[in-house]
Amino acid sequence: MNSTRFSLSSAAAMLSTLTGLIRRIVSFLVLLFFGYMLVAVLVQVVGRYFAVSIDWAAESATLAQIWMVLLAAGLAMREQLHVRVEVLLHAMPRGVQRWVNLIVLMTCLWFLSLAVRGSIDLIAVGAVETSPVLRLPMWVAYLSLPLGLGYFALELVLVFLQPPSPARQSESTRP
Amino acid sequence: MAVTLLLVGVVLLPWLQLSSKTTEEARSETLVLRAGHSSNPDEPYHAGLLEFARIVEERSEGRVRVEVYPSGQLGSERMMIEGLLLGTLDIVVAANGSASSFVPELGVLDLPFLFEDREHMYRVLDGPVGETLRGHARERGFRILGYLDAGVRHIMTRSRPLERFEDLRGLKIRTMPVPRHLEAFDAFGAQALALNYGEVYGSLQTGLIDGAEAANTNFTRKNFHEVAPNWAQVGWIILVANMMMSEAALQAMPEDLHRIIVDAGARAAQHERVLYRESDEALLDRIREIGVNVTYPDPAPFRRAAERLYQSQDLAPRERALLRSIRSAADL
Repeated sequence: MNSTRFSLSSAAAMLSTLTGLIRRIVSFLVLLFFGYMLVAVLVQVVGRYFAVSIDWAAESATLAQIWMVLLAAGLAMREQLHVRVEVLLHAMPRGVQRWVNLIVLMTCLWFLSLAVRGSIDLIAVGAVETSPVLRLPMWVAYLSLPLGLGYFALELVLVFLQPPSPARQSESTRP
Repeated sequence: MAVTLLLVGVVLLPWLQLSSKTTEEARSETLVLRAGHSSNPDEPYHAGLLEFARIVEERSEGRVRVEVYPSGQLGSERMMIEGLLLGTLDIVVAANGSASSFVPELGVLDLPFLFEDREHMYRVLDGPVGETLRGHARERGFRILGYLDAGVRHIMTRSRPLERFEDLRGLKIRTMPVPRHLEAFDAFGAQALALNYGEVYGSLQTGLIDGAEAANTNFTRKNFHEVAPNWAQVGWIILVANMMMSEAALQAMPEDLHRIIVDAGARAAQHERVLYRESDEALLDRIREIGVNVTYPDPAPFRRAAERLYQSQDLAPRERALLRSIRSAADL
């Protein structure tokens, strides 16, 4: 009895180390892509005044934006920054809230799983298709879908497992 | 525990559903083919597809129905071509430049000043070069049902009319998102910018771009003259459009329907070409009537710039061979 509890808690500890690592990687990548996007767009705008055609800047900025958005969707989920209508939810008793949240979670997971499933076909198309300027295979862009949405699903489940408490409230307003 | 099972269940659900859906579709009586393109319903692409639909429906005695979706309502050309491979769309008519992102060998048709005139283009596409390109498309999973005409392309500008080649220098010109088109306009001294077709009108209006390229037909039909009233007859390229289908989808059809579709594609292409030429020729007078400033810059410097581009291009051996055949067909 004691030993199973021990192994469970160590598994949980491992899991939280793993999610911590994933979060750090994702945060780093989001910063990187956002930074690159800013520089590339700036270069392109400045280039316009010197009659230099830098069409690769626009395309690579688009690519960086796609990756940034899909990865940051998971980070935003962690901070519960996604728009959601909760007027009805807050009017409900605590016990009911938990069940409604479960239904919402199931719907979201179903949708994310469906989108990941669809992205597999799209990545196969991306092996045939190349981007217009850099001529990169398009799976470079489409791969952001399963990875970004997969991470989104992970954060979604973690947020659900965390019971809402005053402590969490203050945590989310932390700078 | 029950909650965990539920969650695992909803995650797995989308991955299981697939098979039941396809058998349901297979059971339906008439086969519905959905066709998309980015032109207006009063442009030749649409008429070509309607002709295709008419022939297919007539000859299959109603077993196949073709629905045509114009004006890019099913997405941009690239998205529609992706749709062929994903199975969300059956037929697309798209400018060659969009298709060459999927079938690189088609890129040879994106070169500027490739064809002397329309006869040259039709001769090449209906001859061995067209067959070779069809073969390359098939390797990538596409069947080219027909080579259509997308017009002799000229250059429109917002504020400054193009009287000479030099007037183009430094102007920001929209091209299709096609590497060879971008390179061509850079070689002409302009700043090429790739935008999706649906964004062209607004970009001209707001001044994001100084000009764009089009044929007489879409220049008029998409009302680009309202925002770019200068029209330089350059004929920098005669554009090819491909009517395409997924090779796998075509192979999955019964033999007789397969033949009907291939045959209808060829006939629809002929029909569309006649319409595009007539429309291009007839609309130039109308363009003058509505007060557009039509200019005729000397094409020689454009050709010289294109020639330099040909030499600097790192053409693949396959493309070099195709280019030689295309050039030699011009002498006939």
